[in-house]
Amino acid sequence: MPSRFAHSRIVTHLLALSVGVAMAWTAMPLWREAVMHFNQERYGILVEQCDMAMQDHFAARQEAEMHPAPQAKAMVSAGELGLVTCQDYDIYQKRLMQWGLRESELAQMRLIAIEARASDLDDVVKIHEIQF
Amino acid sequence: MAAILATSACSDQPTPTIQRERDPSPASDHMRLGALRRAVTANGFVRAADLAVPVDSKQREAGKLIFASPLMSINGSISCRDCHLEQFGSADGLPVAVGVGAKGSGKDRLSGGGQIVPRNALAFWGRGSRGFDTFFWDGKVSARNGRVVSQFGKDAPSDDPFVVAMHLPSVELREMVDDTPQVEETLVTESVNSANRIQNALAKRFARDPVIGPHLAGAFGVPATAITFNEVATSLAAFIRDEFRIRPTKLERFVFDAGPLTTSELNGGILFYGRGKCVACHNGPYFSDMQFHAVAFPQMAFGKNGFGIDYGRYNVTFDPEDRYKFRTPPLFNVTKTAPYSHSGSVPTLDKAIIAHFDPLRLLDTGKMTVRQRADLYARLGPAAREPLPSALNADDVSELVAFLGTINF
Repeated sequence: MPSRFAHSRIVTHLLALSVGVAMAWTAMPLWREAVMHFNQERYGILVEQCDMAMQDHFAARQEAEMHPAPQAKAMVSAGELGLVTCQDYDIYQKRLMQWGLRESELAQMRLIAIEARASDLDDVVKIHEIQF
Repeated sequence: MAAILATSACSDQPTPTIQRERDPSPASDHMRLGALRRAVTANGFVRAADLAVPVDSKQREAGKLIFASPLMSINGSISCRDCHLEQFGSADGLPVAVGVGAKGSGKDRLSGGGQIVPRNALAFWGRGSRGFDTFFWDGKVSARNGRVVSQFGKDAPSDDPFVVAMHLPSVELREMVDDTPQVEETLVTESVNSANRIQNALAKRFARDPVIGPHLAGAFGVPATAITFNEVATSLAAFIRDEFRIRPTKLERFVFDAGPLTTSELNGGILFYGRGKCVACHNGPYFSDMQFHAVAFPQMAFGKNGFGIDYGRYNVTFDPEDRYKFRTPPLFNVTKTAPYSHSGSVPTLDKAIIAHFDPLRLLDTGKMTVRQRADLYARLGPAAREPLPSALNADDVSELVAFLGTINF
């Protein structure tokens, strides 16, 4: 014969689960905001470094094609090695995804990094991102 | 002099611009370790032993005595050793050299009324070793296509550019020649003859010296009376070549013997050969392309061209394209040779690196005169046409410094 408390125990557990899910659901955006906040600076640096490394590499290849010279070739090699920073960027980004950030949050972080000099545009960027 | 004191004082306490602790853990990223090894060798790095030039031991011994002898100064009392000291990485630890008339070493030289030589004393590491054939900040002695190019023209006293370079300090005003009215009247003609007069007198002096004379005579197998300044310079070259030869470094062990690097050193190396573009000029076995480049370092109050201006290589070639350019400094033991730049205006290595990509950070233009600012604008032009590094942050600079520590010995 089932305990007279069994029914209420199931209800209690279901209730606790529901509350937990509701809390997690509510807390998730806050968690993501916290992850974004604490990683924005480092991630922004890596975004900038990778972007500059890619531009340097492209410029070096273009220069080497237009004006072939040993110096230009050496700069292509330097540009290639410079792209290593993009590996740091990729790894860091995947770690952020492991911590729960989605592509939309990462895109927002990238935009904030890119627009870092125009701090008054930050709000505009955020609004722009929410519309996606 | 106040400016020198200020910079010297600064050099004792590196400015705390470095934010993150260096990572001393052994580097284990095999992809990056391999990439760095390939980059280092692809850009001309070789074992130290491959750079050494054998010297005659007797000439070396005579050169060692000459190096420490104040007889080299025609009318003063200064030796080569007074400005090239072990404790300062074979330089003098001062922004600009204080030549004849000064006493002691390091900062003590500032208080003795010595004459200012308007450029930073160069370290000696690797000088005269294999392939090191461009000398002084402005390259006034060099070898091009197997021929010595110097102010001696066709009458170069040797076909070894390093021996030719050894002829110059002894006739350099304020460096080893006291700039007196008598000297101005009788010797300052900028001719080879006046240099010869001084050096003939110096050769006789060394030949007569009871210790150095017999050493020189024995080294060259000639009677003391037949010693010329060329023998003096050749001996000096032999000593400096051997005493300051490149020794094995941590980088050599890493590249050729699978030695370890710390994570910071590895990151710095990747920067040096990659995003930092340091290798654009700091390449080859000595980390110098032996060419001439412009970096808009702050200029100390002294300058070769007066009024705190130094045109650098232009003073040798008179080509306007060479204005403000200086020979790329070699980098062995660079962490030991502060202060930095041709005018010694940069007290720490991290600031010297910053000057390459963000020179205005080191300057307070509001405190400069209009003329100083005009000179700065002129220097920024050629500097901006150099292959500038990406904007580096404080951590990057710190890691570059860590990497440069791997070429100490």
